[in-house]
Amino acid sequence: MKRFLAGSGLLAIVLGLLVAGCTGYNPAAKGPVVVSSKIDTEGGLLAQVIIQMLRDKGFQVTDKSQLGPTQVVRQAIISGEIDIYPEYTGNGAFFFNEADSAVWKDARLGYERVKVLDRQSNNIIWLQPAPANNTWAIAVPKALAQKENLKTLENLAAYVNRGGNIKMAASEEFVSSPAALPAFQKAYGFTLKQDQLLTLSGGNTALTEKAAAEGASGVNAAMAYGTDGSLAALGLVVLDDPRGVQPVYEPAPIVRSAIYEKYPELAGILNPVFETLTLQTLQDLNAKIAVQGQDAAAVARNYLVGKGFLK
Amino acid sequence: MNLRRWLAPDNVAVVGSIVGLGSFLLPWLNVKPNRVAAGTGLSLPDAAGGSGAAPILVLWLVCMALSFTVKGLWLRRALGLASNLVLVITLVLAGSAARSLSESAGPFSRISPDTGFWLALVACYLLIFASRRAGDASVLWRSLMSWSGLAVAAILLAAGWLNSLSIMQELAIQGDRFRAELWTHIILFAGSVAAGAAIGIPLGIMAERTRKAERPIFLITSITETVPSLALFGLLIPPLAALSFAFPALREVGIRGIGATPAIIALVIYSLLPIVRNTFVGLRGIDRGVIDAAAGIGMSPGQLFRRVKAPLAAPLVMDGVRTASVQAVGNAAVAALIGAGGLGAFIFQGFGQQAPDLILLGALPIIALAVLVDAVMNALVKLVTPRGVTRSAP
Repeated sequence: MKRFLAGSGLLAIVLGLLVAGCTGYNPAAKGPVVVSSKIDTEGGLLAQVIIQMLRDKGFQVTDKSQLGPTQVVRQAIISGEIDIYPEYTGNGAFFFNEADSAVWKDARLGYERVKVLDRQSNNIIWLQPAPANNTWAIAVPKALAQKENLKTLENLAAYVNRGGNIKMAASEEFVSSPAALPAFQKAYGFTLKQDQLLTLSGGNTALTEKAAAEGASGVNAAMAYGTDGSLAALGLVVLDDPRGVQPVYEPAPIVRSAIYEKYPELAGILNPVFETLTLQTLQDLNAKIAVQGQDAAAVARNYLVGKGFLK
Repeated sequence: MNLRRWLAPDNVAVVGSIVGLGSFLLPWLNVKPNRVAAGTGLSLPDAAGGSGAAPILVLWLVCMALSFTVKGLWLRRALGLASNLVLVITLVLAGSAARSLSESAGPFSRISPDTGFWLALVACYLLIFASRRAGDASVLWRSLMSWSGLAVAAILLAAGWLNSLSIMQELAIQGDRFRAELWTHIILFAGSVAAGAAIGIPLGIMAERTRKAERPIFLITSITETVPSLALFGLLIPPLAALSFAFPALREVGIRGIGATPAIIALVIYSLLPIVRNTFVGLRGIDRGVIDAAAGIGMSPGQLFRRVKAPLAAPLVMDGVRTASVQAVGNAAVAALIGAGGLGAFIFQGFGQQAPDLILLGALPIIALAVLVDAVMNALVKLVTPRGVTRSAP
């Protein structure tokens, strides 16, 4: 009994030391910089892009990608547990309670606004975003799009209003948030009735896209994100939003100002890389990870080598 | 000939055989053109060919026949061997069928086990359980019936025979990440159970000794046990974050609002109730006569505790630690949601990408860990039981 207590006490102490997370101190390298991301495919990809670029430039990097949902990662950077992670410009509307402002519908204005607000409130620096709008969208199977000539949301509104068969799988948030489906419906002049909606509790576009592709429960439309990798593989097409209803969500690396002041070269390293990440590029890279099942680090590395950022 | 003489059905074995034969008819392997698309299910004869399916069918029929006449030692041993053999042949066929299918299905194809495969594993388990449950005097035969199939399965796994199956491909992609998360998971549950025991056993002793301490201790531990794990993790984040902001020194040591700290604190709280309760019951349940006798021969209270009470209560205390450990293995899976890592990270990534193989990559090791921890702790309980004491039924 005594030995058991002593042994467990020792284990608790050892555990405490391990939890403290000694990452090893190498005085020659720059850093250590902790790079993180949210638990999703694109977050993992962008985190690996950042990690590989920084390591190539002589930084000692700790990989804490796929850390958790948005709130956890946001709390982590504010409390200084992580140093860099990719965040979306449009999320500024929710972080700073400005969801009604029209500035988020414009890429440039939204970015400038969140850059100023985050610097003032949280000492977080926003680097240059990628020109890819990863915002909420509606996707339909290619067969349906070709049959009913659906290219934009205006076509979809006309199709629904003339009584076309539609059933959309979407998350609870998408259906009820005034910025999402209600905004689409108001701008394009159509309304989906309760029996034309399949509402899920989580915001999982992989699930909604799979449902639309397979026609599960009669679903033939899905909530999607602009840069989802599975769209092409599942045979879905995203409908254009010519009236610009959705806020713009462009991914950008955000850095704690303490780290940025120490290493201002971070902007010079990461900005040129993010500039090359267009919507199509991100879709392709996401597809390689989600559909082909390649490793995010390998996909990031191949891309960077191909573009000449890495040797 | 009187058929009734031979009829001795073992219910579990009969159910197992029926499940096994049923699994033969269901889809066995699922072939997907890529990681996210829906796949087509192939039955066992389609996937592995007639020459592969025939021995399996024969073995299931043999098991079915045996499960109706399993009277006597040798028939039971035959059933045990037959079910282990089915397990081994199923895995061998799955590995080779997956390999040949992936070669013809394209570079990004994924071959995963389907309903029939999983049901076959369930059937094997039921049959092995049935063949073992009547007991067997020979240690050799006991080990053979329980472990031979699993041992061969482990060898196949290690030798890479099953590498064409989708879950092994996910493992190959994750590589070092899997090892790191597995290690994190082990540290999370082992550390929290150790700390829980270090806190809980003294609490249990205190609760047993003084009436006044008993009620509040049990009240607190019972209430915290009913709080859902994710809620408890969430509740701990704001106070810990505030604490680490107020005292930056804590952040250096690793105590922050998210990550391992709230996870471990919550896991320790959860492991308290089984340990405190079992310590209390273990001490309370000691025969008064034994304590009187010990006091009668002049033992001091300290000696009484060390030489009589502790050894007698130890098996039950260790059983409480066992319960807490198995519970912690499962609860630690949720820790991934607050940035603590562990095998749960794969489960949540799998949800996000709708990749069932990634979910299994997280879930199956957790199940295996829980079974392993249970077995090890059971052995520890037996070790701690003083010789001359027969362990009472749990």
